[in-house]
Amino acid sequence: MTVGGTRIEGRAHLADDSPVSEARVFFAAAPVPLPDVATLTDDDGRFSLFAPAPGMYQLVVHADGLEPATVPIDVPAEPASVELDVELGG
Amino acid sequence: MPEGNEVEGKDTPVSSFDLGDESVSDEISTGEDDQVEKTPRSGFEKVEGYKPPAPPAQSEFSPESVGDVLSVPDETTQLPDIGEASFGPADARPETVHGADDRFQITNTAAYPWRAHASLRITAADNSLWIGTGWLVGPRLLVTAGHVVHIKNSGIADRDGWVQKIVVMPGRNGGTLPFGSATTSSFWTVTGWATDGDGEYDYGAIVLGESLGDRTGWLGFGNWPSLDGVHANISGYPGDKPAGTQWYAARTVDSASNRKVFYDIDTAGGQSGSAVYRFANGSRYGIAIHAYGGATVNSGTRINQHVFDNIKTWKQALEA
Repeated sequence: MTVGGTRIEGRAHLADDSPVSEARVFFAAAPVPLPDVATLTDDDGRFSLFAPAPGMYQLVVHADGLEPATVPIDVPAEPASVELDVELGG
Repeated sequence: MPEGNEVEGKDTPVSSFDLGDESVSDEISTGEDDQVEKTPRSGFEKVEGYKPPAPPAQSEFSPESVGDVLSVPDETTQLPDIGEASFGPADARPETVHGADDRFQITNTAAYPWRAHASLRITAADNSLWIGTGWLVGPRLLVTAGHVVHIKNSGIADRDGWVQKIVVMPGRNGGTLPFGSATTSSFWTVTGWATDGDGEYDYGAIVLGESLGDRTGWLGFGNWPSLDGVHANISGYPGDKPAGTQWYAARTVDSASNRKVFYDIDTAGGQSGSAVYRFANGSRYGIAIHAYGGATVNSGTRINQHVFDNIKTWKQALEA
């Protein structure tokens, strides 16, 4: 159940579109304190997180051997959803 | 509910499993061999290459009682959450790592106390995968955050509720598992978290089917009436470092309320559930359970008297 806030779905992949699985994805910055957990991308590189309050977030994706990616997200006050395409480079 | 100091209200325990009758023990163990780090005099772990923070201006608080597991009366006052006052809605601000990152990698994770900290691989109800941290407090019990064992207010369909399973890897160092791993679906938390989703009640425990703690040893836990000037240590498994590596950092406690402890110790996603621990009488005692990253300080659920009683009861229930 979505109770306000924004659902963030995404996929981590390499330049050739091959998926990056087991990447760690979490918020490195947020307007409110958040649980200090990280989700792992699945076999297709997909992940989903939830931003509970409006404001600016920084989502980061870390995978061993690759440069981490940082994605700024401006979460609106109204419930919404965001689809991210995160390319990781060596 | 096992026998012991039963806790009511929002600290009422709930579990993902049915309990049998068990017996009691309160010892702290350093594990099965002599790989034990010496107890430092500074209040911070002595890690080669790690420069501990400057000591606080005030003198170190002396514990009022000494034992394998410490408990003193819950005399904490309803202090305002000073740390929370800093968290107002604003532009994105760095969370969890504040200023220079002074976390230090622990590589001798097969030694005590590092082996008492466990990397967690969590499978949520919707099959999504997560990482977290837990710490052994007995042969078969780890303490962690409530949201590690029971997801609440996730905003994602079918994700909320007890997680399906957790793989526990004590002393993990990347791909090396010096004590193997154990998979379990037996967890504890309290109604204040599972029912109400109240962050002040965000704590839980993981029950193992085997006594991994007999090999790794475990930390104590305690409730002190004041945490002013206390040196706080955290070691855990952050997601912004190489997978499965353990990282340590320390600072003096910023502030504390009856249910939260605030500290400027760097952490990152994956360290939820880590022990926030202090030294007392030559041993290590958890004083809080790391749970949240914030804009200026991070915070954990304080081990107050209710939390202490629950952890003690959960531990006693497993000891034959």
